[in-house]
Amino acid sequence: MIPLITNDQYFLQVLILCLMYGILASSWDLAEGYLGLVNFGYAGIFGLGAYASALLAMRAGVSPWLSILFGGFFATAIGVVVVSSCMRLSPGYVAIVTLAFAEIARLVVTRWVELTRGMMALWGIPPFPNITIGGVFIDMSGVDRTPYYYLILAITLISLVFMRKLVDSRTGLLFLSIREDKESAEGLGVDTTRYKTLGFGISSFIAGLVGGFFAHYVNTLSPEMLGIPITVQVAAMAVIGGRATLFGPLLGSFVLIISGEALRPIFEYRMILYGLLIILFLTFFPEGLAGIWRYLLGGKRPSRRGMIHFDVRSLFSKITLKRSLLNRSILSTKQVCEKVGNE
Amino acid sequence: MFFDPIVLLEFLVYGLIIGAMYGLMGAGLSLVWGVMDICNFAHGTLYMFGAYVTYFAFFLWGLDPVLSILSATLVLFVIGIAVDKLTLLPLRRKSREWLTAAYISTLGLAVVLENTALAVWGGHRKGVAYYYAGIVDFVGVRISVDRIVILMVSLAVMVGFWLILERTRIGRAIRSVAQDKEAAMLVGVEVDRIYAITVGLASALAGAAGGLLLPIYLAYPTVGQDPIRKAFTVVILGGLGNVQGAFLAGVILGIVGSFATGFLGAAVEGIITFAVLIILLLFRPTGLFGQAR
Repeated sequence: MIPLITNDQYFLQVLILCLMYGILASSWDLAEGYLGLVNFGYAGIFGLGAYASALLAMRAGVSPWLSILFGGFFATAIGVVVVSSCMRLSPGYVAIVTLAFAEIARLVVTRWVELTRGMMALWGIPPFPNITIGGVFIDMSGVDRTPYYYLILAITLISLVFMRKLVDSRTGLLFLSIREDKESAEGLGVDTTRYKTLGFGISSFIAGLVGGFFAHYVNTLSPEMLGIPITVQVAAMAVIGGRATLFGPLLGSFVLIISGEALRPIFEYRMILYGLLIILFLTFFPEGLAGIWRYLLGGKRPSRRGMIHFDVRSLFSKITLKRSLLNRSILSTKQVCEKVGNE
Repeated sequence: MFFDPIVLLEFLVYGLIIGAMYGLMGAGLSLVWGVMDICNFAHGTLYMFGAYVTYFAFFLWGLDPVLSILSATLVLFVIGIAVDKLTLLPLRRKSREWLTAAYISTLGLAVVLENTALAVWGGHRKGVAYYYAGIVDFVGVRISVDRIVILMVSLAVMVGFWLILERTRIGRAIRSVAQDKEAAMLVGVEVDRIYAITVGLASALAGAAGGLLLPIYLAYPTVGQDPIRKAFTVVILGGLGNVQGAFLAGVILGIVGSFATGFLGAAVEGIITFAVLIILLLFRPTGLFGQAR
């Protein structure tokens, strides 16, 4: 759409970044906001997917169109391994384990110079090959980055629609129940292992896929892409945009990147700003910008008490599902469970 | 590979010193975890501030080394209390879901502190070559006086910390909150105040560690990243909330790491620590010495 009104490459590149980080933040939010799995190793999964795709294309000559899928699956495999080691652990442990995985991954990528060229950076990653769709030839290797914009737009939209359907389905409700009170959920028969693996796996797949896109878009990779600052940026976007919404992190991405570009002079202090915003939003605007946006659209006032809470038992009572993208009350109870025992 | 006793003893002493630092870092982190259930990701940056404060105390104010370290300890105690009151307390007031928010918030805080230090003091390393000149001859082995002093002070700090926890009223209050928060409230313990003091104490330890290791690790904005990674491992190795366990675990990790680096080279060092961490979490999450509760 946008490229119909402008050809400005700088503008396009900013948009591509916004979309890319936006879908990354949304998929991070899938694991954190909906499942309660705080993934501080997200950049590691993203980076490994990127390197996997890049190396496959460079060493084995696989077309990037396919290798990014491989990047996604590789990232999913890593993600599944990581989440399985965290199954029985409390959120704090999960945070540390994911952080540790990412740091190990980063160290391995840095030291395994024969494979990845380490700190010297992996350059010369092939861009996507030109393709012809419906008779129209699309030049992917030219200076005009418009095709990449459409590609990331497509990836973002498809992923968002998929995640939205997932979150609105019964599976999504089960995710929330796991986040709220894992023990109760298990007591009610929810297989938390399976759902955690599912959610984290999807989050990882998207990270790896987008990582692959990134690799073939900028054609260079360095181990810093697996570093903590990237994870912090993604987390900041999710927090500021609004956790446990899928549209919030996308919004957060646009806000942060565009204001980052607009405030170029203070670029060096960018990280300080991100950190401060994380703290400020977590403390004063837990529902994030998405919460404020909803309020402006006539929804309820943003709660300062944090994300919505559900009583797990009432989740399993007779419920009506209200589907609404913007209205936050996604369910209302028709008949609450009678209390059991003496709670 | 030579098994020259002098070299081995050097590894051992170095390992003990580094281990004592890990122990101090780990003890503080373990305490916060045991009392408040959160992992303070900003702990490494507190170490970093401790190093800087010690550096400035030593050079700007001309204090003697031990006083410099003490001033770092005190300053960091205050900073720790501020950290709790400014970032953690508001979150606790918000909702019962404050834990995940706290993790992200402490990470954000770490980023802020690290980059502020970078902006204010620049990235180059500041430090001292040594605190005390001189080499001591110990049963035929030469060890620098510096290292011995650092080791002694580390032990003194650890003992002091243990005394506070075990023998004072505040210490008892802290331990009671760690055991059972509601019960502590019932007997009149002001939990919020205890939380603040706990974070303050942990930060003081981190600050002391930073100052103690100044001649070895120096002071620069990202100097806290390695200590905090080691601290994670130490905390879990020693058992969550088990402060003495953490200190012991720190010493063990320090010695093992020192020998590993000595024989296998520095490249494996970071990977070993994380690998140990992950193996621990998979097979023995309660640590070597068992959790405090």
